[in-house]
Amino acid sequence: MQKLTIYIVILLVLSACSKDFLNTKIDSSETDKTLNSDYSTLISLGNAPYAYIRNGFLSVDGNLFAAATDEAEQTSGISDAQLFNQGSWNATTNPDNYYSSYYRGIRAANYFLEHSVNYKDILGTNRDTISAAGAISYKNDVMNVAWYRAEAHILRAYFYFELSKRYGGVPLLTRVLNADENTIMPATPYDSVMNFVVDEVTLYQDSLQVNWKTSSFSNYDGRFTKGVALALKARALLYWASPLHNTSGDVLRWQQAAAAAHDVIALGIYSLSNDYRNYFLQSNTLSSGETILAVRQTANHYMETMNYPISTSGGQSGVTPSENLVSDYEYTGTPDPANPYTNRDPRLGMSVVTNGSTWNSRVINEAPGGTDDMANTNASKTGYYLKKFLNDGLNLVQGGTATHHWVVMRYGEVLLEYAEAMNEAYGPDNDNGYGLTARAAINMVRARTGVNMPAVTATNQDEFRTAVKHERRIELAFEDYRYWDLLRWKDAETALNKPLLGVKVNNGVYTTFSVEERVFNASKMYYYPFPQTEISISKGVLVQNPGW
Amino acid sequence: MLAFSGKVLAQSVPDSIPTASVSKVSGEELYRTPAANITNTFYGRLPGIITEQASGEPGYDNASFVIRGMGTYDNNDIAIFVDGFQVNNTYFQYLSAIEIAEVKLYKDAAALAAFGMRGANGVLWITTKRGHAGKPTVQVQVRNGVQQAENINKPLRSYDYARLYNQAVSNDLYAVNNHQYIYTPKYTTTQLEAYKNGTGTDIDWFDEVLKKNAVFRDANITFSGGDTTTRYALIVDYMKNQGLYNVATNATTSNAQIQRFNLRANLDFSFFKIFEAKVDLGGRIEDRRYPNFNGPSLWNNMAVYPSNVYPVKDETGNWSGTTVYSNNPVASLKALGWTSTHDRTLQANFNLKEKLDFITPGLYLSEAVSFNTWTRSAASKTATYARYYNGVQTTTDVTSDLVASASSPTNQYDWKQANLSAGYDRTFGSHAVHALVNYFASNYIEDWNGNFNGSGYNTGNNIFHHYTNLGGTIDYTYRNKYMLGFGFGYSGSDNYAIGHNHGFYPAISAGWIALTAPLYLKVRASAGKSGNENSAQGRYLYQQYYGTSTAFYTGVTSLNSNTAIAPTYIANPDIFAEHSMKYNVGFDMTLFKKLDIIADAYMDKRGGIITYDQASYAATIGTALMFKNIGKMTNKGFELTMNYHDTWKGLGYHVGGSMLYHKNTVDYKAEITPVNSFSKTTGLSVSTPTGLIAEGFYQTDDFNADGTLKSGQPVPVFGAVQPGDLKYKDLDNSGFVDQNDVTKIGHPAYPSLYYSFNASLDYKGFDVAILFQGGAGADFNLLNAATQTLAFVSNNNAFPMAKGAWAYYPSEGIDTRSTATYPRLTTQSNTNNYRNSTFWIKKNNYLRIRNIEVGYSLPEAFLKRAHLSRLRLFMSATNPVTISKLLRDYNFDPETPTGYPGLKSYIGGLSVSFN
Repeated sequence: MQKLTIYIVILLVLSACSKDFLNTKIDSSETDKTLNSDYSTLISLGNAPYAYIRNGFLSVDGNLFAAATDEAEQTSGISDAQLFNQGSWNATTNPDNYYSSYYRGIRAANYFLEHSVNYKDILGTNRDTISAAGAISYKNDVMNVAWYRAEAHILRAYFYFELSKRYGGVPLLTRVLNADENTIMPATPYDSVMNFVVDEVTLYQDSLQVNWKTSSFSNYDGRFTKGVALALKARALLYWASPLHNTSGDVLRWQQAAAAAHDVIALGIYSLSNDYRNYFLQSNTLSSGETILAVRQTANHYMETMNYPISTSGGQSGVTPSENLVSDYEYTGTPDPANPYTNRDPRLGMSVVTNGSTWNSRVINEAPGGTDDMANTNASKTGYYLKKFLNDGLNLVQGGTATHHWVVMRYGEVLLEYAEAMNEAYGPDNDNGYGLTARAAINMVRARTGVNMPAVTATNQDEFRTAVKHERRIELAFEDYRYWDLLRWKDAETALNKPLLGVKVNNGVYTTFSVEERVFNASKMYYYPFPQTEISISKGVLVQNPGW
Repeated sequence: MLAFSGKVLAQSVPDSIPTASVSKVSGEELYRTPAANITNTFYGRLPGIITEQASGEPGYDNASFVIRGMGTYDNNDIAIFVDGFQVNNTYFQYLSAIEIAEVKLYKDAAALAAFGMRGANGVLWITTKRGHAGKPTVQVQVRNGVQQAENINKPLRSYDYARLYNQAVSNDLYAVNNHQYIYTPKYTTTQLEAYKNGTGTDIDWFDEVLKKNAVFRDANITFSGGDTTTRYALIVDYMKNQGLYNVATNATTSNAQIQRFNLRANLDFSFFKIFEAKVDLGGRIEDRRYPNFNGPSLWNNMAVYPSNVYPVKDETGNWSGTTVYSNNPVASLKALGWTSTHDRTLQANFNLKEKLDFITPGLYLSEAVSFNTWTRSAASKTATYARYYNGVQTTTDVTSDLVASASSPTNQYDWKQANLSAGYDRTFGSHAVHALVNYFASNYIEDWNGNFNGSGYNTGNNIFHHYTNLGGTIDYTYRNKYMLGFGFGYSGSDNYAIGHNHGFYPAISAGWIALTAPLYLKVRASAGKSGNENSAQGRYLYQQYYGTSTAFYTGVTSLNSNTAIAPTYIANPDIFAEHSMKYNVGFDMTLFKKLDIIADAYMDKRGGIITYDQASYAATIGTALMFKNIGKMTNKGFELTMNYHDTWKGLGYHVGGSMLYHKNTVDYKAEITPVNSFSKTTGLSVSTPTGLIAEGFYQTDDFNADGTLKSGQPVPVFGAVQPGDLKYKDLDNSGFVDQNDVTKIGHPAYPSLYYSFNASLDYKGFDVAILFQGGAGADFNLLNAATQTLAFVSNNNAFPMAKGAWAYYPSEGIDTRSTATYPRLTTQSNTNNYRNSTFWIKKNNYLRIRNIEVGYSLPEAFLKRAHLSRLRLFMSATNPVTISKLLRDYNFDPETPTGYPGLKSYIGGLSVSFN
């Protein structure tokens, strides 16, 4: 008995003595050793940066950013959008704080680029590259990784663009930082960041796929293309040329912006959708020739749940359009005070649910005692409900779903960029050899099938500028352009300091009233403050934006 | 005091270390508190340990322990050893107090250094009963009684709920009504009248679901005896603990309950003059049953569902339910079926000691091995029911029959440990030496159905945990007066990288017996290092892991998912265990053989606490950060225990008490410097609540006619405010009340002063004993009991504290503006009022009578005739009385304010010994 015990003990103890006893690592997650350097790993690393492209449906309060601008009001009294509206947001509390997320996207892109430098060799090891089928397979894989590499450059440039749109100059890095390196660096000036973005596009635009839909890889549609890169360049140059950053009014910048926008048009693969209302719904967004870049989502009823009127079962009112926006839609005939929404730009009826219109299988009646009485708890504060992006008649109680894809870049917006840049560079009627004047471009957008608005009547550059600004407000309503446009035009201090208006109806009489005061502090709010945590950690190296 | 007791101990700490700070309690004393879970018997009985009651739910009623306060902000779990081998909570919590001979608590470095990397949080050292040479004894004990909830906080009944709800909806329309309070009730006066006179729906859900008394019974038999060659102790123990649910336990439904069957056989053999062997077999079966509807959710629903929402069954005899309140509490108990789990566990130890006095007197060797195994399997019967309201079905659920599922294993572990020791006990004239060196190896394998922990990726089956420790203690005593001790541990753990996974933990201690009989005074001091390899942040943090996720979708007609791989947090190849430098100074004094005083003052400086380093990296690094050994914390305090016993003319009496005061400070936790220095949490105690400073309520004259605040008032950024909302202080004078105005608002939720006192009398066979235990210095945040605090918010219920809400409806005769104790009621979420602030922090000092016991032992004469050596009848009450401000003002139990409450019990029993 005692001998057996001794033997067992000695065995146990001896096993413990072996060096490997304390070396246990049986786990089910990938580690450096298990991560093979092969095609699927490279592809997975190449996919990583895409996760950081923001979905505009989930900007603030899990809803559209429009509630923080003069386009709309968030119904819930405790929303983060109120921080913008009250002017009480700051470095510690910023509802749109995606600073570190963008740097994660940048790192993901850098990591992939560094990891895939020898991609041809990596893909060629332990693999048949000689036989006919093997050679074709190898060639396809090499081509795909090459595209991913170019896409990573553009993704990185896109993230820097998004950062600079908000913060101005930001730290610029083009390689992966290790934990033992100094991560604290000062901001690179805005101009250098813009130059970087433009240079990256110029270098890599031709290494990208031109059109996934017509290639033999149509299931990759959604990845970056040459059109995306050129559209990014056009947008970056437009921002760079705008009054906020172009303090000297340098016309050359506008000319460069116009040239870049022209490059997108000259690709010849994009065209305007012929149905403004349905373009944003379900797979129409994906199949349309107007989409340049869209973030895809699986089917859900998220937007409808958030934004259907409170009187619809399951709805929460959410982001409700303002009278400031609605009153800007043009009249196509004589205004009728009893029916203010007839004879208007058709895009009004396609984007906004107004009193008297049909929505969710009923006629919206916001008068006292009506189905959508504004005196109900959580009814719209402005008298309107959101319609754009929402499928009508989705049954929220039974869990009905539909797909919604967020459009990041579309052809209609590129045409408006072109119109704006050309007007500033050459005037409304000078095409500078591009074959398309500013006026013609804006009229293309207005003349879309189903919209059919008449041509603009502006005569000179100033009037045309106003017309372009107006057209952007109408055409791109709720698509997360308004705030950034107001900032870059330096119009935010007027537009965002005006009270937000709503409309009440009683016995067929419509009265406008002020929903709430809005605050925009021009001395600091043209740029976001760097997050307080970043300022604290950097101990003076990263300087906070002025006024914060 | 100095003689080595001759017991064989498998770990490196000898039976008594004269210079260490050690608390003891016997198993007999723990038995006096009748509790299903042994962790609930420790209140006030073991100085140095702070126990906090968690819940009374049968099978899930584990109390939490820390010694001497919070030593670290990571994992404070104590290491538990039974008969020299380590066990975990699963094994420990359902041991029977009868199996235990003595529990020792090691608190300072003199004893803990020898435990190396598992010693920093203290060690609970348990020895089970052994046989004795002599006449065999048989003891039988039986206890039976009832348990009740210590306290249940019930919501308002229908009348109060409805009239306050009317206020809430009216308050919510303030903005729509042009910033005025206009009374727009939901419940009409007729409806209110109906509730008042009992004709309306008025269900007390707690009453419907629970019963007042639950059964508790346990019984045990102990056989003990032996001779010089063989000694045995055999113990059989049974316990049944039922829950408070008012439902029968049969084939279709089940109350919550646990039954356990313990069996222990401890055998000692001496043979061939030099060998001593021990065989310890301690095993048990635990059978739990509980209704299928999740316990915490059921208690939540009973609190949340209003009294007027629906009757238990509607007029057609079907279970009631609506889409908003879909889980009828009574139906949840009776119509969903039940689950049973079966646990089987065994700790089997084999120990052999050789006394090598023939080589040199006092030398001995010992080898020991332990196999500890546990497995759990579960089987359930499920059913569903349809919900009706006013005769109409409201949800898509249907009534279905009970369907049984097969029994399946859910979890198991396998633990093999080995000990090799060599010891030397010798006295040379005025010098005495006791030395013990021990090599310990532990091999733990576990199957785990779930994520191992938050950041260390280690999921699935066959998770290993290997550990080795070479430890020892050497004690030298000179002339029975001066003592010197040296302890050390050299541990290795598999949590860290090869080459970085060993640590050396030394300790030094000294003692001096200053006075001897009739007074006795020993002064002692110790300083040393120990470690803690058990971190809540994860294991294998030196290994770089990669996580996969869906990056984005592509495609036109159908969406394809594209996976991304990215590194997770950055691996730290140098990660290591946190270490603790413990300093202790104390004295033991006995006066006139009647009064014992033990006092200790201690300091524990922790360093190398594994902390997520968010203070050193800017966002440009673009990835989750690194865990590093950079955290620091200090914990200091003092303990005092006094006991006085005496007899007077046949009346024996004993009075005693103990107190523990502790205070900790977090010295460094990689906190990013906030904008204002008053918002810093570094330098405060761990878990200190932070929030805004409340300054009363907004009144009507703080606002302009359009609802905006008058100029000069700081604007809160948390949402629109109206009269009756809480007003906060703008500490940094920025004009806004926001996150930058957050500061310390109270004390942590654990008590800083933990005390107990006890008294007992015995006279002519009667004995009475009483034990009080209390805690002071803790604060309770009412928002942590959200269902009982947030009245009406998001379909919640209302509790008596809502009666003090701010309201102003002069047309209804309602005006509480100057007497309000609660902000204005609302039915919607309100992030202004219901956020951490001084308004919701309440003092949580409490004192409980933990145990009162009255017993009578029959006289010798009677016993002799019946061939008994002892017969004692007793009655005891546990937790009968609680004194607490929180209980008085808000009806919250100080330790279990939400969920299944802690229990009080009234038990009677008898104890018989034969020989």
